[in-house]
Amino acid sequence: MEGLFSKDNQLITIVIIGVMLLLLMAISLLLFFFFSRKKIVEKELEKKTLEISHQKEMIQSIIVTQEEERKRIAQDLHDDISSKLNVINLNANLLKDGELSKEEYIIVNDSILDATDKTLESARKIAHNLLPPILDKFGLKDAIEELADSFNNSRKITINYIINYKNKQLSSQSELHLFRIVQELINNSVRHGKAKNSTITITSIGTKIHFYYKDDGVGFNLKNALLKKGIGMKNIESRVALLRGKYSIKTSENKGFEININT
Amino acid sequence: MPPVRYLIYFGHALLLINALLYIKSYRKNSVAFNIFTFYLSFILIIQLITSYKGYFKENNIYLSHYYFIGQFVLLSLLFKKILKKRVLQKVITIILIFTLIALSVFYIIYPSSYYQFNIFEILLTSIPLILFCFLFFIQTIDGSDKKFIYIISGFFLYVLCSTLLFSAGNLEKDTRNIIWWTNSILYLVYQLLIFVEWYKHLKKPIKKLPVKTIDYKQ
Repeated sequence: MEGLFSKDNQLITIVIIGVMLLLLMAISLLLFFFFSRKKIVEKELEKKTLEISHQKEMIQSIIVTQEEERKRIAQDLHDDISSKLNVINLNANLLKDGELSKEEYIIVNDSILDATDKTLESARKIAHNLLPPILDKFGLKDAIEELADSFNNSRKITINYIINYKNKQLSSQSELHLFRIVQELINNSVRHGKAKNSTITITSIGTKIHFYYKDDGVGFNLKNALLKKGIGMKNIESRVALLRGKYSIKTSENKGFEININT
Repeated sequence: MPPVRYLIYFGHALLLINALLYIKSYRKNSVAFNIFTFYLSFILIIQLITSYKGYFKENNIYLSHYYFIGQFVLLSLLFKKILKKRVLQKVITIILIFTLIALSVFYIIYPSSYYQFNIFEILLTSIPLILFCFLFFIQTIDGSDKKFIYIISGFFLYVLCSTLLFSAGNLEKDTRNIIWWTNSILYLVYQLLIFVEWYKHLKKPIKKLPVKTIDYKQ
């Protein structure tokens, strides 16, 4: 009996030690689980906050762009149209009130006609800048070609283009986004990049579009630029997002600028 | 060390309270919580019968088989509901069926083990449940869904240690006191965590009615 008892005692000690070890293991496992969980949830929260702040920035840049555009339109209207309409108004009053000689009458009449023509031209230009009619009528390919040619004619920059794009492959909204991106890129090349040459390549592979743009301008330091993107770049980014595409930029100081966009 | 008896009674009392609380919120619960309510009621009934038989000094060891197998079946069903991956649900079904067949075969071959603690049965029913607990932890590690976390944590702790304790259940009576003492402490922790789960996830939140004020302007 005594032998059995001590044998049992030993067994119980072993069992208790085993239980203690298991308990320790289980508790440490649970603690590990809870802390990892907490960390993962925190990380996810951080990610979400970043995303939200990024979206806020986007919205802000859209609003700023909108305001700038309004300002530009107001200025165009004021400078080009209002001033000329003023001239027409004055001349028309002259015709009405003044007793003019025949030569003077002809001069005034000519100047009215001239001013009307110029006003019409300005109105057409403003409308054209707001929404190029060629994009609607002939599609993206012709619109980009026309845009490039108009820059080529101005001799500020030489733009080469290879556009392999079937009309109506993208929706008209998406075409407009892509067109605006091209506009923004060329403007950037001329204004900030002081580029002399640039290339536009559009290739369509199935339903996907691959867009590539490259210039030989001064470029910029990508690390600095990523920290505080200009409105132009943000604009491009949000338009790429609207196209449901992805983009990558390759640039460094004095080494030109390259962008790839895939939809 | 307080006597084992009081600890066990205290555990039973907590179990009773938990079962009543879960039954009270039965209707508005999800299926998974309802399965758990069934489980609690089942365990409570087994405990009551065990105590009753123990009080009249009758043999109540065979009730442990119902306890282990019932726990295994009900909790497997619970895990089948709360684990979201289809593959895991299938695995649970397979393990459930396989274990039940294995146990039936065992009792056909060794009918005498019905009147003893059956270590084979304890291992066969506890190890899959520990595995399911682990799978549940992996599933919830990146989610915001906190349901069942307290219950499963408590169960994981309890079943891991009690499996070893029950394996020693066939030892001589005088020496098992410390084993039962440890077991009932762990059981208390488990029941407390079940209560915490109810408190955090099932207790009706006290809704404050919005107070509307209307200004009349004359």
